[in-house]
Amino acid sequence: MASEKKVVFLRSSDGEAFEVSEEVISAASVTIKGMIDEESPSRADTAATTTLAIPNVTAATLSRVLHYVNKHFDAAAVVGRPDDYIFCAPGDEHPLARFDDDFVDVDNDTLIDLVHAAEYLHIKKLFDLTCKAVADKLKGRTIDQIRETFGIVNDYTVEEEVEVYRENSWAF
Amino acid sequence: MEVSGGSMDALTDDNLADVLVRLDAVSVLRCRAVCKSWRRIATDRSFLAAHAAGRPREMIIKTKYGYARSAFTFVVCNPITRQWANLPSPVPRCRGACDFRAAVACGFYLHASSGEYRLLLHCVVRDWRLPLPRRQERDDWESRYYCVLSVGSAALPRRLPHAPPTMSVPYYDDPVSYRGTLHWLSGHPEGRSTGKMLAFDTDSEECLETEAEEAMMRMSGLLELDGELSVATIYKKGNRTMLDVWALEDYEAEKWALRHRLNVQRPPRSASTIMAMGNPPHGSSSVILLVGFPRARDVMVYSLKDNKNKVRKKIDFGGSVTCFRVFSESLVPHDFFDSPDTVPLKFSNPLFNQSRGRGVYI
Repeated sequence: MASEKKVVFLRSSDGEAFEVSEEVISAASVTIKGMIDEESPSRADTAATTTLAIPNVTAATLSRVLHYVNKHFDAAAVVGRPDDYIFCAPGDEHPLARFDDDFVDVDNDTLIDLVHAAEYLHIKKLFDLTCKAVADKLKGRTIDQIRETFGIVNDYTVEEEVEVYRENSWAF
Repeated sequence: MEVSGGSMDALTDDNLADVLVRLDAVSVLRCRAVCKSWRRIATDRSFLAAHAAGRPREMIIKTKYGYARSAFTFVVCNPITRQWANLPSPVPRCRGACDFRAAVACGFYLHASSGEYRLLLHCVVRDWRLPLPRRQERDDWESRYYCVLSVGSAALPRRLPHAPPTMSVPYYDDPVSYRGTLHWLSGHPEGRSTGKMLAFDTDSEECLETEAEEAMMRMSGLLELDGELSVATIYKKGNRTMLDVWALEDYEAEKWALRHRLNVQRPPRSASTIMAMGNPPHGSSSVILLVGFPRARDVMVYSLKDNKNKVRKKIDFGGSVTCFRVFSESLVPHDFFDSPDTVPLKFSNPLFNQSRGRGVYI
């Protein structure tokens, strides 16, 4: 008996449909698992594949998200150790660490889109990864560089700003 | 990751908090200067609590004995925010008739029912009013007692009814806190006379004793490993050196169980105690055990996960390490740090820079 993998289609906000294994996307995204569970009684006996609308995510972002999901949540594709690699001995690298680094090595707009998509789709690992990547962009930057990167206008008065610096002067 | 282009202004406040919560503490302090809304997010109490809870555990080493900044003045500080507060003086008023000999910090804890942070001290006082010949005969010309100081409180030191046994120079290992109780294995005066572990219930503030295997009382270190109070002990077996990790399997019945046995390729030093630290990542089992020896300059890293039982790594600190402990950064504010009558503390002290601070951590 040939085991047939169930697939679902996800339709992005701009109308493009992407095919993904139901098992993989259910493991990755709490939001989509919820949608599939809601749908399932009505499609139990039909062979028709399900198409789910993802109105908040564009095709460009969705295809990136699915690339990540297939790498991280497809049990057949994930090799090596389990996920708790925080305390890997020095020199041991998690097999997906390089993939993750490359994955978030994108321009700021794309990264923010990924943060929003990960949050909407409730993919915790991706949300952690992308938020950490944004955080890394803050590290070692001057306050002016941070304002520029984040498009922020300094709304402190001179006196207030002096006070804020004084509170933790050693941190600057 | 230097790809530019596009700006981050599409980030919502909620997402910004999600980003800042993943930053180290000093970067969070810096980000408060960006603009008013960032400052509001980065000073919010629930944000700070979440931030502290999410910070990884780090190791801190102490390269000199003692917490005291002058003879009997104790200070509690957060090296991350560089805030500090003086504790009340433990010295009793006895108008020159008594000689306050020692105040040794045994342990620092949160007294849950009052919400106060408190320091447990072992004090030694000599009473010069006794005539000289009687001093030699009498044990009580030198009185010893435990007392408790509360941070941020004007209350006088409070003596506890339980008194430590005779011992002229008290010394306490750093305690391990487990189930709201502080534990000292062998590095405490009572261990020598009773052969038991000393425990201190931080809520009832009573001293207790816990049974320990005799073998654990030498060349051993106490630690928490995988949610259990554990003892790491090093001993010679033939020409091999073994490292055993025992866990207090049944806390109430004081029943110990052997959890790990490693063949370590390093002869034990002639030190009386080892210092051990397990890595406690949330929700996963420990894989690494750090073992150090007082006054040694390096710390050994052993792997508990594979069966190779070898030293995975040797960390050389380049100086004598007397203690190491686990802590995580915290920006959580404490009211007692706002007290106006604190004496300035020099954070330029090289010790602060080398070991990220010293003192009593919260």
